[in-house]
Amino acid sequence: MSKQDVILLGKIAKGDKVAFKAFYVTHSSMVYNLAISYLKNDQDAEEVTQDVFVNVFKKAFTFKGASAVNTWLYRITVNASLNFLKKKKRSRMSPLENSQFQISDFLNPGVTLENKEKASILFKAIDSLGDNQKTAFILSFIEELPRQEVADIMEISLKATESLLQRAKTKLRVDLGKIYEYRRKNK
Amino acid sequence: MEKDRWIDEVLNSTQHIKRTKLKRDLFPIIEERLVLRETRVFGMSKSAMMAAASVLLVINAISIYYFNAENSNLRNDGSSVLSYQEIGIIDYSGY
Repeated sequence: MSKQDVILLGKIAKGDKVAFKAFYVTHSSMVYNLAISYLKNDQDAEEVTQDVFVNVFKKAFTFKGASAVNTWLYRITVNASLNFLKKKKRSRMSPLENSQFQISDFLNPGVTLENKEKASILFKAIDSLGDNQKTAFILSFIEELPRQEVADIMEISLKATESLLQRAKTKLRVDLGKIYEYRRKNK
Repeated sequence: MEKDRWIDEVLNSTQHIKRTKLKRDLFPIIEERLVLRETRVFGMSKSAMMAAASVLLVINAISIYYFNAENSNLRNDGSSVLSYQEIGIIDYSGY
């Protein structure tokens, strides 16, 4: 746990805007990148990043040091991203036929050039996972966090995290298999 | 098998993904949102309190008006004032 972050949160809880700015500078990139993995859209990820920091300012006093600051912040970001997705889903029209086989037009800027197309397919497939499997997968394989930290963020046991990851990978393999067949037939 | 190899490649395509930088500084927007929120919350609670106080004052005024009107009617019309005997209380021993 970073002592500096804990000190900053203590000051933020008292309304210190300078501390808040310092906290934003240190963590905004992490928050934005995690949000982009869920939302696959710059504008939405920016909106969620704003929501997260507004929440940090409002809820800084609730941080009691039971978990690391990073874990706490990851948790706020995961919840904000999932809530944003739910709101968006409610307002969205019914999906187009075969939309699961269409590649998302979003290209994650952090992915290497040779992996761009495959990463787009993967991000599209991740969409079909349930909230918990999606979170476990994104935190483990995109954020590349240790399993224990993923478990801490999700407030579940290590065993439950591993089970979620196993099920997520199995589902993704099935879905990707279908996409592979569809693409082969339509070449 | 080619299919399995392709699936593995897709699953591993996000390995060592790089962190991207925000395209713009969001801090001024966040600050603005916090200021707006504070203003709005204070304004709402103050106006809500004013509205509640006004409603209570009006209810009080109406109650006082009707209470006075009813009392003055009773005083003008003697038949509406009943004695204990008229309402059946004639034996005071029980009290």
